[in-house]
Amino acid sequence: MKLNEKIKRVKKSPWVFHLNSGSCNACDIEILDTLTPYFDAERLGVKLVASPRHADIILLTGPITRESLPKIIRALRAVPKPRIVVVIGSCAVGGGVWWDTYSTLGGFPKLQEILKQYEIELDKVVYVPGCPARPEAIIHGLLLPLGYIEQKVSRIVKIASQS
Amino acid sequence: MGIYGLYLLSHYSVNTSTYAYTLMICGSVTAIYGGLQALAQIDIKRILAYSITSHMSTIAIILGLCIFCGMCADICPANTITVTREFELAAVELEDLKEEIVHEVSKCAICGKPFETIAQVKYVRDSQLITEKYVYVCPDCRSKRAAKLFAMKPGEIS
Repeated sequence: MKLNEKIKRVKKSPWVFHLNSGSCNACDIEILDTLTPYFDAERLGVKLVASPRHADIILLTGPITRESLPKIIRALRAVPKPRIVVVIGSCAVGGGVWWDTYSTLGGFPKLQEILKQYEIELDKVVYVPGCPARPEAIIHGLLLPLGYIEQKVSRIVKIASQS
Repeated sequence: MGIYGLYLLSHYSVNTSTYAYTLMICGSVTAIYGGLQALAQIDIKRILAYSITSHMSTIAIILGLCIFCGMCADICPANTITVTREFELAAVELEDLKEEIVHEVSKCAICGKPFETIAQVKYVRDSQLITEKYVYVCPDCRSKRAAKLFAMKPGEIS
């Protein structure tokens, strides 16, 4: 089965698992805010589950610390395919302020290299920057891999005006 | 490519990530060609004209590392940095979160070496009018000139 057909199956009701890899809890509070009635992600079928084995989408926060690395790998291995990961917050996207510290990996791209060694494939990865990411941004990031909406940002090259 | 080519490109609503490799190859070829042409010239003006093609400075901002604290916008003396109010920044690739600004580099009036961006020189000149005498000269030439002036005998004209 192709990836798009697989994603179509989870599109109606994506269940999310909240995976914290040593974040400061600001992003986690925003995720909880997203799921509670004010922003109400449940109207889109989003539901928080307790085990990665039940999850369709993983919400990953934090600049993967060394201590949490083996647990993260085990949790991601348990996720059924298609594996969709939404990387939330500046720390998780590129390391943020921890990008070169000794005790963290410094962002998701470096974790992906390690996952390749363990042969864990991720079907779709979406990066949501922000410190912390807003609930609206998280909902936007949740709907992007499912194909509800188009991506808004693209790489910009500007020429500075001389006058 | 040159400034004008990039300027033209910025008017079209193309996704630059797809054209990044074309731009890079064109840019590097022009940079090397411009440098080689500058070597072969005898006239000083033509050397300058050709060496412009190989000097551009780029500021790249990665939104992924930014924590949106806004301190850079507060500190910036020329008020050129603004913090985005867009928050729906979700991207499939990290490259999409990059923002680049290309500045033209100002040349030293004496030795012709590039040393600062034109915008920076203009800001210094506008804010302090006294600097007009040395703002177009690179720091190396400034120190050389100062050393020469100190070494002069009384009554001598430079």
